[in-house]
Amino acid sequence: MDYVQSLVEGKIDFEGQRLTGTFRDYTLIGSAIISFLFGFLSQSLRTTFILLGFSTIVLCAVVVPPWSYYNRHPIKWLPVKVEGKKA
Amino acid sequence: MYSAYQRINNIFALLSTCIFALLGAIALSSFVFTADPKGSLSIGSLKVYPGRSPHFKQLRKEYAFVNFEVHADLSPLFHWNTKQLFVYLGAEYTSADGTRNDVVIWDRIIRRKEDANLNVKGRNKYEFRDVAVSFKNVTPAHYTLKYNTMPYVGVLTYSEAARTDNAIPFPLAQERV
Repeated sequence: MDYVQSLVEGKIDFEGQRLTGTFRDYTLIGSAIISFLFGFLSQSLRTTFILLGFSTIVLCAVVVPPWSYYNRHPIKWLPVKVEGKKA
Repeated sequence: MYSAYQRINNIFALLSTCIFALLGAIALSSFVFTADPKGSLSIGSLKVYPGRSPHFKQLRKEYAFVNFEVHADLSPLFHWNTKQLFVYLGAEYTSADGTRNDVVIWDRIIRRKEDANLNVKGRNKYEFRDVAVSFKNVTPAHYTLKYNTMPYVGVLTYSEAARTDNAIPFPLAQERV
């Protein structure tokens, strides 16, 4: 049950979060520009929106699941202080 | 970007911004295409007959019947952002009381580039009558072929493709033959 929950939740570490943000920016803005140019050159709005939709689907596949690539920098917590020994 | 749900939300937030920017760019790109096709328009015959108004049976009104011929190749107007063209034939004249009129007497919607080469010999599609009862004392009319380019995204543009060289006077009403 915990495994299913972690899969649905899909937590990634801080470094992974930065990476997914970068991927998102480059892919969406880049594909918007490229799909405009291709559509303009081929004189077809369909080309434009197929390109944009396809690149969005690819981006979702790359960014949304918690791939292990995004979990390569886990946080190193300090060891737990054991209290009450002094007393 | 912590959980999968946040990442989906984040992607679609930026995607909506990108789509709006893209639509804006597409709307602006229509101004790059400055085709201004011209055609020819001639009026074959113009007759005026008296008739009864369908709404006021007692009233006898005068109806004009226009035979016209239109030749215009409007296919240059079709580019990636053209959805359809609305082509219409208008009659411009001034009524006896000084009102300026622009009456649409025929129109056609063109949805495909293949249909954009117009060669039409026809008669007015819509009933053509003056606001007053008769066409007496109205000025001679100019006939114009105008079109309205409808884009998928962006602004509607209006333009004129043809115009009769001389104003054509309305003949006196004749009884039905």
